[in-house]
Amino acid sequence: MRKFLTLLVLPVFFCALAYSQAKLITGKVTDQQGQPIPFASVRMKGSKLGTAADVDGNFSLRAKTGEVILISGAGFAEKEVTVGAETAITVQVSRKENNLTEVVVTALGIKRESKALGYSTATVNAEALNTSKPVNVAQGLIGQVSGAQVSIINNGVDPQIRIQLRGERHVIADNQPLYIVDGMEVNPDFIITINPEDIDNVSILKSASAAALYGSEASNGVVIITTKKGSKNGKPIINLTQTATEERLAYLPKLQNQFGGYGGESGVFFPGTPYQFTAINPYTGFTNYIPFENQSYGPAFNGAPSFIGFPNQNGKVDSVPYAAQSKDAIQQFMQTGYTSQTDLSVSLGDSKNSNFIGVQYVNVDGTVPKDQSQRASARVGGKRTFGIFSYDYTANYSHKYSNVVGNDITQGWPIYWTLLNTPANIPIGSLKNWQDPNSFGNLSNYYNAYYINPWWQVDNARNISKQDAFQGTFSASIKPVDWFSATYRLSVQVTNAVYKGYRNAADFSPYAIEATGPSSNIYGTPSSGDISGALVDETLLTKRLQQDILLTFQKNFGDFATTLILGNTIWDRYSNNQIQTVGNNVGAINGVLISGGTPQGQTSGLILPGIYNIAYSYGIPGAGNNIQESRLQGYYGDLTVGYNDMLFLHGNYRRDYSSLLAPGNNSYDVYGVDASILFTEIFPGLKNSFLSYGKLRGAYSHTGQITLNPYSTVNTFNVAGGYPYGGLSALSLSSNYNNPANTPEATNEVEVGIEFGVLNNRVVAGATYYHDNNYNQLFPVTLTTSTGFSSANVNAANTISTGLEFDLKANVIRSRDWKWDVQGNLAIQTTTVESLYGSGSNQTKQTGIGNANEAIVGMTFPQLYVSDLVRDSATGKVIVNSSTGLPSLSNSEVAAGRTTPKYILGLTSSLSYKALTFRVIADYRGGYVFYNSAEQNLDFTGASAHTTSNGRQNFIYPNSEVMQNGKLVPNTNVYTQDGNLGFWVSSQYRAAGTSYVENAAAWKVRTISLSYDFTQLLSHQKILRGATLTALCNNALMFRPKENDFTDPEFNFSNANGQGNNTYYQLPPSRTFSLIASFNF
Amino acid sequence: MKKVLIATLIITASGMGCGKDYLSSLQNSPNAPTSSAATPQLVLPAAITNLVNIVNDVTGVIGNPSYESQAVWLGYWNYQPGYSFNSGAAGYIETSGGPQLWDNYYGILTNLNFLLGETQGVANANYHDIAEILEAVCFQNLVDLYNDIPYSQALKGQGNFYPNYDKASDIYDSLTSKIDNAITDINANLNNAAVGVPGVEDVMFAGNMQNWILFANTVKLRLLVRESNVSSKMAYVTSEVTKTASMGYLTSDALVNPGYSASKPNNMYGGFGVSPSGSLYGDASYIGANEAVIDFYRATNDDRLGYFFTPKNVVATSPNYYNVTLPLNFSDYWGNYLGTQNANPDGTGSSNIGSGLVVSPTQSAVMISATESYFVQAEATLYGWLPGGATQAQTLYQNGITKSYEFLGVGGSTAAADGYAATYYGQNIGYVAFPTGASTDSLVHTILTQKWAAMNGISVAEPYNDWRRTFNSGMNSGYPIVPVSIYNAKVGPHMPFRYYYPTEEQNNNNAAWAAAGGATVDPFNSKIFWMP
Repeated sequence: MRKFLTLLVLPVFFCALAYSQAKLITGKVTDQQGQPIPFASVRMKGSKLGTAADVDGNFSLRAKTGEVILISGAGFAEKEVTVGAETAITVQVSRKENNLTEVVVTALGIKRESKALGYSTATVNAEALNTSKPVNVAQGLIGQVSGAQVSIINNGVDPQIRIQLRGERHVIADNQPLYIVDGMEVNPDFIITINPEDIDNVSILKSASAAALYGSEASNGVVIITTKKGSKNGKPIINLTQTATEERLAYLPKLQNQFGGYGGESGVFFPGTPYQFTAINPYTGFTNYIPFENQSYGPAFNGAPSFIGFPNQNGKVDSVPYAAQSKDAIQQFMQTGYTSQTDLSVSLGDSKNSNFIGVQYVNVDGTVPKDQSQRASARVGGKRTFGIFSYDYTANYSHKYSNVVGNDITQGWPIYWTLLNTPANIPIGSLKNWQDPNSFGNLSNYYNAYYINPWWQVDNARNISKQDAFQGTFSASIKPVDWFSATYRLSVQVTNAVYKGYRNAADFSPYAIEATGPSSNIYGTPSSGDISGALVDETLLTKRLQQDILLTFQKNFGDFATTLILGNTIWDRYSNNQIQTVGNNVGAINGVLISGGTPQGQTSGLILPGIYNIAYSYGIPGAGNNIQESRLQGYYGDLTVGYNDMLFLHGNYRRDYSSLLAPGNNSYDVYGVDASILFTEIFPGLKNSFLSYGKLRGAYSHTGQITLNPYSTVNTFNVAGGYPYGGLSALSLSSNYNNPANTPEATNEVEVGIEFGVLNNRVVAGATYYHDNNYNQLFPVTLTTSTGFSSANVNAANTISTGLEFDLKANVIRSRDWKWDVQGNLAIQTTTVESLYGSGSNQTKQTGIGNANEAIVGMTFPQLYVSDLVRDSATGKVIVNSSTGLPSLSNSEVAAGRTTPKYILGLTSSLSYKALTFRVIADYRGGYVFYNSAEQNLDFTGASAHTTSNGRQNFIYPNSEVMQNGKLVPNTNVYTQDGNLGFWVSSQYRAAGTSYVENAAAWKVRTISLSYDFTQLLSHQKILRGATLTALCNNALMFRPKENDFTDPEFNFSNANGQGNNTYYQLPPSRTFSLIASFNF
Repeated sequence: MKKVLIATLIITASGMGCGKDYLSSLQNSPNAPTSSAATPQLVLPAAITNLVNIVNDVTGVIGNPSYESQAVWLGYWNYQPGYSFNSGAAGYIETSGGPQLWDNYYGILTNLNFLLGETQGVANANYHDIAEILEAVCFQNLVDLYNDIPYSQALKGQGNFYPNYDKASDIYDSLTSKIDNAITDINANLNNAAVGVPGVEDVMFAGNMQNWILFANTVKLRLLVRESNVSSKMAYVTSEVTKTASMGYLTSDALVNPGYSASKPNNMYGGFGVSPSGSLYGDASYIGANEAVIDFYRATNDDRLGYFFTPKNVVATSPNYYNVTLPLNFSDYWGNYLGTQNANPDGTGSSNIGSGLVVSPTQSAVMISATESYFVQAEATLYGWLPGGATQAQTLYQNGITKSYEFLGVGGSTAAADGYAATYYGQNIGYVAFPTGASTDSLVHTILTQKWAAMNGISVAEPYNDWRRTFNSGMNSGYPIVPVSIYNAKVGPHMPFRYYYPTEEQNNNNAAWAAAGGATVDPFNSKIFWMP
């Protein structure tokens, strides 16, 4: 806690108290008809200093002559009043009919009024985005947008994020959206390097119709991030924010604390020593405690004196009572994490020119000891106008560093798995001293015969990543006449990442090497004894260069307002991944090892500990290089026709030419039409005191896309097996057929929606229905080798996605002191596989999606497809063997449910009393399952509380049936022949996938924050214009169904399409507490 | 104003015209070579090496098509005591799961097909002809395992993802004419300076095209002899043999050696020899002798036993592994009959694979042995397809035995081997002496029995094919006659006749698979077309 507080270094300010020449002004806010407007916000422009009008529209505040007062509030346009000589003023504001004049950033950065849009979009502004003080922009989007599933799929100092808009539509190709920052596409890794504080707004185009202008890349929707380019109101605004965050593990798996080590041993151990014992009591047949086991299937704890591990070279043993430690291994090992985040931004400008400068520094100390990450970023952005010319620019540089624990020496296990293989009686917290050869923490003396000391792992296996990213955009426009403008934009993004993963050699003492056999220790587990040091060096350079030319024509013809945009986009995308490795069990961190690698049966490794340079290694290093480059040219036109601000018709057409397909097949059309009808404008009679406005919209689009990697049209050759022999090289054709006949895939989408505002727009609601047909999907199929190849990408799979989305925003309470805004959204989405590949194959199932996810014709996608126990087909109950009482594994696998949520509900609430604001963000995801493979593994180790559900005693398999006299009857008397290791480890129960398929539904309170705005109290001094103090808790609460007693169902093994699989590769979830101090100057 | 508009349109237009190859220049991967880099000189060595690796790889997955299981069925090899009982091999069990041989042969064929496409010109005519000959070997071996297979529609990539099957007999005829073409072509080009001759990349004959003619003619003869019991084709077979008989046949081993070394050993050595670190390679301790073939060597006083197998307890790391002392003590050798995997009576394992097969890491791999060539010629001569009659058949038969002794290095030198061979075939023992004047059937029986005795661990597919093509239902066996498995849970009365098609055909080429009778394949009743 002390560290936590010291992180919150409150900048100290010595502010001269200056006497203000301000006078007291009283005023009244009214509408055009002179009716008072209650509770308007009244403040000095350029500061948060101000007050609010009362129920009759009256206010009073101090101001100097010449200062500008800004009147704002819901339901009317903002108004500025310059203070003159008078002391009493009346401010007349014009009531807004609705919020349809809100400007929305649409495809290609084209700003359109929301009333003209025939498709659904969502905008998240800076304030909403930063409510949860997210470390990255994706986290800030959680709960804010209907149909957007933002998942934090693992934990640690550098968490991974996955965003999906409207579920998964592609069977194999990635389903993540396109990310656009200031007009330029960036890769998903890049967006997490952007400081959320630098973001002006995020616009989310969920539908293919909205995204159509982006052409081929936008079939999964688009996330458009627009960064700040300065303010317009003259005075510089300097903002300094300091955030201190404490991270504690939460929602840990339920572990048992009743039984110690045993893993199926028999025989006599440490014969002839004072520590001799037998694994199985020869008189009773009961198993004894095995002191070097990782599995916890031993006898119940009894508190008796015992020891762990085996005698060390001095003949001593580590004595501990045979009883559970007060804290489990995770709690003993993991620590509280701390994050310190400093943000400084300067925003200035006037109506013609503006600038923004933002810098950020984040330091994260993780929950795993020594895990650390840092991020520093700087951004400048600005705009300048002179006459008919204008330009704007942004430039962002960031540096990201992370240093996390690597994998273990035996089979590359992650540290969390090592911890979960620690029986409850092990005082893992006291085994830190691995350096001392006589210590029980030393590798040669460590108690566990199968897993190494995690403290050794923390100090000796590290993965270090350094990433520099630059993104710059320059855009120049000319607007010679009112009705025409031309814009040229050039953007570049470069990311250079350097990874180094190393693991020091594990050398064992002669005593440990000799002691292999029954008195086992970890030396015996890695088959080759001493483990050499290992290293992976990897670099990944990615680059994107893009040019856009936009011509905009805007003209009104009577009641018709028209806008025509013609444009051209060209981009080039390049990446170069280089890897070198020596030693075992350090894989590529980011890339894929293309070729090379230490030959079978050969060894390689580092020569010296502490020298992590491939030049100081022996054996043949593995090496690989992979370059990917692709290009696209697109031409497009976009026409909007508005009639009298009531009816809008919009259409676009784009033709793309891509390098990803063979010439002749590489061009395709994207087009769409949409319409927006403001029915309350057409029939003004509909408007009344309840209904303020209403809009109907509809859209149809056809989009094309290419989801192949570069170079997928020309066959390649591999170095032939065994070659080179001496100087003789040889090539053989790759068995993957790079199909030149492939054509782009396509999506047809129909979307309809309604939006309306009631009660003077205090409640705004909308609903959307969409139907997407994604066909001709580029899709890998397995071929029979008689075709000459074993796999090929073909135009195949056909899926249909349908969904409903609802959005609601309400100003529930508006009074002088109280304000309560709530916002809710709900999405219901389903993707169904209509067909897969083809005629000769009868293919009804597609694997290869990952994590046991499959595509099955006629079922929702993605579907978990796993093995099952033998069941009574009539009742669905498990049939157990009439003598052993154990279930058996069925031959066929079963579809166990979808792995993406059917329902996603997001709720945000913001309640203010005077300067105090209380915010909550919550969400619910349901209607899907996940495979709890981590729990399946914990059942193997015997660490899970799940394995003690029957006290490790024989039991009747719940709800089972048994065959009696040729008939299946409910099982009331056949007990499992073993309720311990024999059931939880060896029986088919653990082998069946369905045993661990669990309901993934969860309610989460993502963020709770309480902030106090000190601005009122600072009115007496000049320098500090505003200050806010916020206390915040992220990942505050989670409510799960009882069956999921392991972890957060949102966590996933990978960032790819195959979702719904928890493993021990992710650290447990955590809850964070932050204090945030923010100052405005 | 107009100027501004025109200027902008020009800029826009310039953006559009990035040059014609802006997109098409990114078709070829910079990470891996494409066809333009894959010259015949680079593709040929892989095709030859991969092919010899299959035909010479006697170790592989059991139950599915594998030459290892054939070696076990034929009474050559068996699994060492101490390893779990291999019920798959002992029970004649086949599964349709593992398509290894199917995949491997079609994989090589894909490369040969590429080579054929790339070598249309005169300059590469020799490469083209070599590819055709090797293609014939691959397709014939596939037919011998599966009967009807995709042939004319195979290997077309996108052109046909669902190739139909061709009739096995038609494929044989087509292969025969392909070989004829290749022989004619090579012969015509022998003195044509415009035709390139392969160099070191011909890892079998180093560009000696005369040898390729002999090889091709031997392959052709082997293919036609395989049809010896297809009575409807006799006239065709006879004329085909006669057509190229004057070209001659292999008189020495067709050996492949791309440059094997201690770290990249020959397959045989890499299975049974000693690794650079001094430990035995995996198969050496797993696979041992079968008592059936030991019985034959013992009964015929055959010294080759000491080269095919070791005395008990001698392994490749033993100091006396390479010292075979003649005369042999025949009782030192021991193996298990098919269906048993018992320990030796004195508690040790079976005899191990011997030093005649496991010579050194740099030993060459055998594509077709001279032994095989002579036995095939002997049989063709016996049928009258080749001239010389029974006397010539006997000479060729004895040459086959002599070449086997030479291959194994019996006695330590070629001369010694020749002597031991002559002594051996000079014995008046059944299936050793050539019974001139006996019925064709018993002569064939003798030739195929000696062929079996000679090809132990070298090319087990051939004796297996011989056994099938001479299958006599009354006898419930073909030649050679080998003991049937004594495993009581065996699933068939004798070795299987053919293999199931791989599941990938069922799954990914279902219609064609079904049309070819894929669903009705019965390993013990369905036959290869050349079976009686």
